[in-house]
Amino acid sequence: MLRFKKLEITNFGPYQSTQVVDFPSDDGVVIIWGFNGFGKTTIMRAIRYALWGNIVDEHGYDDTIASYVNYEAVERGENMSVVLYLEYDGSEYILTRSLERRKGTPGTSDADYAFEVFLQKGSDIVSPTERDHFLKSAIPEGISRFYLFDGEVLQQYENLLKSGNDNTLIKDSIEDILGLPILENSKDNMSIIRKEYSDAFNKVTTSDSRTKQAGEKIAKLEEKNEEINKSVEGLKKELGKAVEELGVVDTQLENTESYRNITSEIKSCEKMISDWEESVEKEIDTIRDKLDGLWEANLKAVVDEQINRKEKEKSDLSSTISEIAEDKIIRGILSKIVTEHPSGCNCPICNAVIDDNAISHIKEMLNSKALQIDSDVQKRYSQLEAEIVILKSLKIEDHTEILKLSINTIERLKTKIQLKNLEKERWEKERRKIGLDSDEQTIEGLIPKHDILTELIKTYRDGINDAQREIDENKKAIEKLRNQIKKNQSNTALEVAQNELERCQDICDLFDEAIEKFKLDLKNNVQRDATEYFTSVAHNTDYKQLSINEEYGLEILTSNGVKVPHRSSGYVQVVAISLIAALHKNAPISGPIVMDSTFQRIDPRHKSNILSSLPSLGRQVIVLAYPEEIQETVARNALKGKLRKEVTLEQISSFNTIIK
Amino acid sequence: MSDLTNIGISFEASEIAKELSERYYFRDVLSFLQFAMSYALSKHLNEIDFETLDSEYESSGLHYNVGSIKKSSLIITVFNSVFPDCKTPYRYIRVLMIYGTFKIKERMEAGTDFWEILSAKRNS
Repeated sequence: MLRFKKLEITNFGPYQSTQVVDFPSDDGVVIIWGFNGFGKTTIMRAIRYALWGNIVDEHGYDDTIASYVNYEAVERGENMSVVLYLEYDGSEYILTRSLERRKGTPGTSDADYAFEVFLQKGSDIVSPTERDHFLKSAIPEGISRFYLFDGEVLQQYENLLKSGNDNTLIKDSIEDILGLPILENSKDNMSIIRKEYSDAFNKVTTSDSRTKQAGEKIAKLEEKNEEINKSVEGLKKELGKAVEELGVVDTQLENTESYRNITSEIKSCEKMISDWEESVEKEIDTIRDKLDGLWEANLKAVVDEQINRKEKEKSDLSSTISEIAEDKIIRGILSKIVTEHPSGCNCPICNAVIDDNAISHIKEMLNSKALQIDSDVQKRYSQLEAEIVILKSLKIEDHTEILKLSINTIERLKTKIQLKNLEKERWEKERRKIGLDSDEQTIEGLIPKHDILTELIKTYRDGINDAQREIDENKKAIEKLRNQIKKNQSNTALEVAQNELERCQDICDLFDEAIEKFKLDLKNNVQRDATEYFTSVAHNTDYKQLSINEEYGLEILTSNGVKVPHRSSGYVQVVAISLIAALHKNAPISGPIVMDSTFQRIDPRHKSNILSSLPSLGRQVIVLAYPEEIQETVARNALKGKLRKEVTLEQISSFNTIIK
Repeated sequence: MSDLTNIGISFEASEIAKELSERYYFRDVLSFLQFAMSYALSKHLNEIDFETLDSEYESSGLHYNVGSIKKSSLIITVFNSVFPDCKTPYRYIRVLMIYGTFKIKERMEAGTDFWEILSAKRNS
């Protein structure tokens, strides 16, 4: 059993100088209270750094260590260190990690520091090998997620409740904490022994001319299988990395879903605004073209007026010209009458009597001056005719209607743009409320990254499956060849080697079966204990059992054995904590559990129940919480005598938090 | 009196033309001034005393070479028809541009929408 006794943090994150947390030696719970930004998560990071020499950010990615050196300490040229006082199996240890800034460097990157780590057992500093062995056996990094967890890590457990998720990473971790690697390593050792018998068998077969050919083939096939196995191991490592990364991306995708949805709405607004603005520009171009010609269109009224004026003048001139022509005709007729009938006659038109008096009167009239057409009048008339023709021939295009349409379109579009901008602003406000740490570019890259990783994982899996198929085929071929040899065997040495190999194979098979049985029992135990924990804290009395599958996926079952679909996020978190409790109970390794802000989504009733059950999670439980997350009085009432200590973080400034 | 080779617009009319041409999407200020000219010609011809206004309007604003004024067959015909005895067409054009600009501004200040001024050609 590993236990923390004291944590000393110097110039780490917001902690300036040396800040200390003393952990009580009695079993129970310690709560460290602090508002957001005061340095709760930094305490967990400091513990992580002390134990494993690395720091992960909120998304599970490795962070640079130098970025945790207190800002003001960097300015002052001071160094950072974390010292963890431990008790393990009755001995006391002091684990120290520190950074010493290299001279002349700004102290902003890891390269600017010399990293030191040493472990003191009692009064002696242990060797690096012993130190590493201690850390690997006391609390291996591979199972860190069961000891130090925050909302992000808890979400990985929660994913076990969701179908379709790749749980390889968490499954492997669960098997790690349950101690299965020891069995798997034993299995590998058995394989080495089996190979020795196989090599001995091959040696005998190749020494006999009758079985030599088959023996060589077996040796070659086994050699090939070894090579394939190596490449499978490599692929599995890569697969593990890709699955781990995908897990981080999945968590980020889940956490950023609202952000991404809102961003998509904003982009949709921006696209529409941009399209409409483009349409406005097009309409403006149309307006410009039409306005260029509008001044001519405006002249239509002038032209019409000119035509009317000239038509009237022409009409007046036309009347005068007609009168003159009429006068000329009448004079011709009367002159003929006077000449041909000087003493009178009947009128050739109306047959009225024209007597002497009338003839005298006609003569008088004919003697008066006849009307004459002025040459200027005729000229003006012709000129007017020509001008009217020209004016009428002018083509004046009136684009006023098109202008009106364009202007209306622009007004409409501008209104739509205004409204869309308001909608965009609303979305932006919503997005600001979410306030993510990651930048938009990173978030946008998540889906492509997810797709690439999914494809990569499929490729690795296909590769592993293909390799496994080839191994199986080779094994069959080896088996066939061995049977052939067995039929043709003629010497005792061969018979002995064959029997020893078969016996070894039988033992290996038996061991495999035993491991499978052990795993099954272990899983049943985890299921039983998780159920016990879950039913003790869950308020819904119809939730009777947690069911765990081969992949450590979890389901809540009702009293009728029906799986509960669409569980609330609060319940999912309760299930996740139940699994952690069960794993700790069944794990061969035990140590302190540090929980950072893990009560956020749990309702008050379940919070109280979980708080009461915290001492059953482990012997030393450290809870980092902010006052709104858990009410202080609720915590004290729920934990009663098991609440061993309360620590408060007090912020002096952004770069200075003190531990009280 | 000889005709102009360079048309100088008054400072005040230039400022109005600059503002309105930008606000109402004219390609440039000259495009607006030509519109103002046609506006004056079509709606305010009878009230314009060319000789007097030509001497009254100063020319410290925008300047345009007469070559840059659009000379379509339409404007030539209309000018010849409306001002058959005119010997100084560019002086007339200058007066019409400035007068038209002031009149447009006047109507807008009286509450008429600019687009209405454009479309209601037969109203004054």
